[in-house]
Amino acid sequence: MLTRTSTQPALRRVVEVSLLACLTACMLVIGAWSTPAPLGDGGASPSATSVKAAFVYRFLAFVEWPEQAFASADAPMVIGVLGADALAHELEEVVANRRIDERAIEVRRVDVAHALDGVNVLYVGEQASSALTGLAARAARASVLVVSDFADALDEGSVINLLVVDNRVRFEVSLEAATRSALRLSSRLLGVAYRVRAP
Amino acid sequence: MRGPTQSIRSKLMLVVLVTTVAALGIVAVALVIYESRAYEQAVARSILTQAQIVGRASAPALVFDDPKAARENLALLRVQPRFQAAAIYRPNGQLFASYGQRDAAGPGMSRSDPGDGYAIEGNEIVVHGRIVEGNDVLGTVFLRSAYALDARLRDYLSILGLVLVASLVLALLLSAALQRAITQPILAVANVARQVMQRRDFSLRVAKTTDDEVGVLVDAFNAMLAEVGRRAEALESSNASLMRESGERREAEEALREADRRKDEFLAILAHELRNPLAPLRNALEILKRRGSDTAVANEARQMMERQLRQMVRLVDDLLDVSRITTGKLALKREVVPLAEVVRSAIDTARPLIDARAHTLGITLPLERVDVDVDATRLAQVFSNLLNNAANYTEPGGRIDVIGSADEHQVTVTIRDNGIGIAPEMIATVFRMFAQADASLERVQGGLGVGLTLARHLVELHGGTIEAKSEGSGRGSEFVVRLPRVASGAASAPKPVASGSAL
Repeated sequence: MLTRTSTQPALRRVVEVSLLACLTACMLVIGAWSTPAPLGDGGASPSATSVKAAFVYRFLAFVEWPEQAFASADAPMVIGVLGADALAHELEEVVANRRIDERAIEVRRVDVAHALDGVNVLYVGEQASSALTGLAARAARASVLVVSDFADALDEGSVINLLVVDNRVRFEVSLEAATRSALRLSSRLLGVAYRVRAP
Repeated sequence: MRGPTQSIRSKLMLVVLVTTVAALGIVAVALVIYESRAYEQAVARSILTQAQIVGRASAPALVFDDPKAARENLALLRVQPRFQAAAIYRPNGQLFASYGQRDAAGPGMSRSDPGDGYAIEGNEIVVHGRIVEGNDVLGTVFLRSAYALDARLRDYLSILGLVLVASLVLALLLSAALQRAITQPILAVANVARQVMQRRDFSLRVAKTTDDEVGVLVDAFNAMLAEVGRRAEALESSNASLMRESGERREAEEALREADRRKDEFLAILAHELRNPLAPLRNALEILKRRGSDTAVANEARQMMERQLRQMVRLVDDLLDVSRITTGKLALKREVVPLAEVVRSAIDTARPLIDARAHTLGITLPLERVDVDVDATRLAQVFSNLLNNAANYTEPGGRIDVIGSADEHQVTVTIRDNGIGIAPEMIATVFRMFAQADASLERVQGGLGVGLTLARHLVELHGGTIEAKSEGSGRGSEFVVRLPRVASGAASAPKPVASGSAL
């Protein structure tokens, strides 16, 4: 049964005040432990890198990998980060203690040579943009979700490309690349995409 | 006057109505309470579902910080006009996206992750649902919707009202049909009671149709009616006998008074009758005293005296006989004799007078022997009286007939003359004492006045009847005597007819 919220003004005021007090106290404690604030919880102007890291983590929930992409049912979700150490650091913090579909999440800093070894997601930073062209075809065969962060990355074979529009982090999607990689992207993800490139 | 019929029926109706209204009223209140709660829950649940749909659709927007997409999602709610406003708040209470002019959340509501719930603000309901993606709480969606509980309850109440009215009508119809079983026997009792009151007829009874308490009442009522009827009847019969007795007493008094009057009358006439012969007797004595030497005159005077004396003797004898009969002292010496003997004896007695008045006497008697069981002397007296009457009331040289006849059971003797007859108005009274047909004639003829009375008494003593007939004044008279006949075989030896006891 749904609980009806009391709207009695006096009581409401009391509850409100005490809730506010609790919240403040909690914030202080959290701040003292310097735990990274969860995404979108109103931390003072989070940096673009941390937002991007959060985005990468969030993408996992909206993408479906083929079964053979994982060695076993409890194999971890491995995110390879190429050419974006700052983001890798942020991402490690984001995924700490988080799981996706009962899988642990692992962040690996990879180099171009071993960029696709045992990873499910490959983040290609702007510094490694030139490497993407060589990796894209293999990544597609291995059903690796390629997330990139530079202009025209979709043309290079990236599936999801991050971009900044009006000071906000947005992303664009290539359904063609996704299909090629045998990845299924949730329509809900497409709904909030800045741009969707259809085949 | 208000009839008891309406009263008991309307009371029963009232009971049914009050019961029905009370029961339906309780049901209605319970239904309304339940309905308002259930409606509230159902509405809240339905809106929460919508909120969750909106929330789920908006989850990516929250995740990827895209308020525009969220706003577009919320704006889809416009297809349902009941949604006044909608909003999505982040868990920290910060507004993420909204739809509508107004704030979706209520003024006193917590925006920072209040979970699922709802609040009602007047005619609006605010439902909030948490948006969860995976294990993360992303925010809360608030939906403000019109909440038409009043209209809903109005509809509900009007339906309940209709049901109530229909139930009442049905209850009335049913009770009208069913109450007959209860009221009918009571009404029957009341009806009979009213009839008894109006008609005073205690023979009425109530038909017993049930064996319940009313049946007991009916039995008791009938028993009471029977008892009252018995008592009323006893009272009435005693009243009637009282009335009858007083009537009889009145009649007896009247008869006594009449008898007294008659006696006075009788005394006056008797005195007159006794006095009448005395004048001729005195005159005759005077003649004898003065002219005793004159044999012819003396002889005539002596004869007149004899005649007058005989008249007086007869009168006194008759009176004595009547007196004996009326006091019950006359005993008949009955024997079976032939009728002819009695008739002849009577004729012998009357013969001198008949001859003296030069009448012709015709005698007709049946050829066979006809026996009667009579006192021969007294019956001969009756016939001779009638013959003397006939002779007296017929002008000299008239005709007198004696006709005897008999059938199986009865003997009839008719004595007819062609004399002065009897006026029709006198026929009924000729047998009364001193009822003379003609007073003037009496004086001349030496009337009797007692003879017919005596004759009737004697005939009736013999178990017979006597009847006088006449076709009117101057057209003769006829006296018919009827006596029971006895079988001839039972006849005993005829006795000699006594004579000379009368006249």
